[in-house]
Amino acid sequence: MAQQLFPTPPPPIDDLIRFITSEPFVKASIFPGAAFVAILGILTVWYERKLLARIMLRIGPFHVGKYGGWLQVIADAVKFLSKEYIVPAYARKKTFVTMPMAALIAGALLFAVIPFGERWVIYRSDFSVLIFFLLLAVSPIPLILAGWASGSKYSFIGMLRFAFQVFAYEIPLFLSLTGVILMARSFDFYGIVEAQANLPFIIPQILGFIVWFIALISEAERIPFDMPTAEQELVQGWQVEYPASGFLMIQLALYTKLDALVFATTNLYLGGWYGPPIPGLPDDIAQPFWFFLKSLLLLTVILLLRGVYPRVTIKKILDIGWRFLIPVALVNILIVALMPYLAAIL
Amino acid sequence: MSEIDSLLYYIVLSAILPLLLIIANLLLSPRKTTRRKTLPFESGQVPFEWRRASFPVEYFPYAIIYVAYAVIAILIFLTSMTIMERPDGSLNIIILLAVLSASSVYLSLSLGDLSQRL
Repeated sequence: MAQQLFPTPPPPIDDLIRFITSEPFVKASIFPGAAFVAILGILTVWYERKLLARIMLRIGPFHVGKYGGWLQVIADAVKFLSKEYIVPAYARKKTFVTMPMAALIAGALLFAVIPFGERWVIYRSDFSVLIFFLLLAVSPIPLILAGWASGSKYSFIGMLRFAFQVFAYEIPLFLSLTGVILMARSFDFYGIVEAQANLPFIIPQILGFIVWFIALISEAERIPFDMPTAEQELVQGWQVEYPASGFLMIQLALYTKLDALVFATTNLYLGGWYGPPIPGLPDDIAQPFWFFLKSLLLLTVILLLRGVYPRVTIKKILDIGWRFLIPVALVNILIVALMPYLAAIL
Repeated sequence: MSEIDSLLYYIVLSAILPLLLIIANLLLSPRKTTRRKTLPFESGQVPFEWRRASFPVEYFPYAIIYVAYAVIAILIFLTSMTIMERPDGSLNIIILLAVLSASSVYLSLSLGDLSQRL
């Protein structure tokens, strides 16, 4: 009589196991989902620190973790968690405590519509680019409120600068996105990537890519445009009053947003998951591989800027946004709209 | 509809993440608040009154430009939809785009420095 080696679990546990291993839950929790986003934020911070250290001829994180100090960021996070959550005396308490959480949620939700391959997406929609842009437009508002609620001069000035910068750079972002949508004739990330099967959009739309790239760096508050959190003059600007897990959540939200923007750029301009086929590797793995390779290149360029350039003044930031990027984005849309005629003439 | 399911799970999970962080912080951290700790940061000085004053910013030109360009952006978005529908028969919209881009280039060349002290 064959004895059953693994007895079948009772129904509730059975249901639970079936739920945890079901495809929707695995997608939401592991690969393009929550665990991936959290680990990605940590890895990005580590990569940035190592890269900047190499640029400055330092070693960077070294002691915690065997390979290149890769556990250093986790150690930092634990240290942040063990600090006291001090609410400043003049702060608006509820807003002060809840806004970093809202910022983190808004940053993480950006990943809900970004595809990493034909199969790897959390939510596939016909209007995923619009949903992405909507969430992107909402995401600075918790940060502005966080700076306002701190009740400090430094965070107030930083918040004002941040608001100006975000307003100046949202329109160029939107206009350069319009060029991509026009060329692909689709509001869906899938449609846009499939339109780039032969030629990535960065080649015909180099103007739009330049506009998108500059606006992306500004939107993510990276170094040439990080006037709101200028470390030397404004001591972290609007983040100055944030202690412990509040600061951790704000940093995580900013890095998550940067990653989401980089992945969106890969989809919009760099041809998404298309690449030379790798023999012996199924499409489900090869597509994310090419996707991450392109994204890593782009991320490296963005992080390198921090080691190379000084920050520009707030006046110049606004000038670039209003007087350079918007006209160039409009010219880009005109060129894209003229392309069918040009193709007919040539 | 498994995709709606995964979107819902993802929203719930991403809402749980900050809650987990803040609960871990409350469990791990000491709680001993003093007056000195809760003072706002002011480079080691005693803070003086200025917390919620009106801010000295020449805001108005930017607000006007923002409104104008936001309207233009929506207009362009709608026209781009039309071009998507009929890629060949949309020459008048292309002329509109040409006028818009020419005028914005002219504006950006002729617009003087916007005053801004912040």
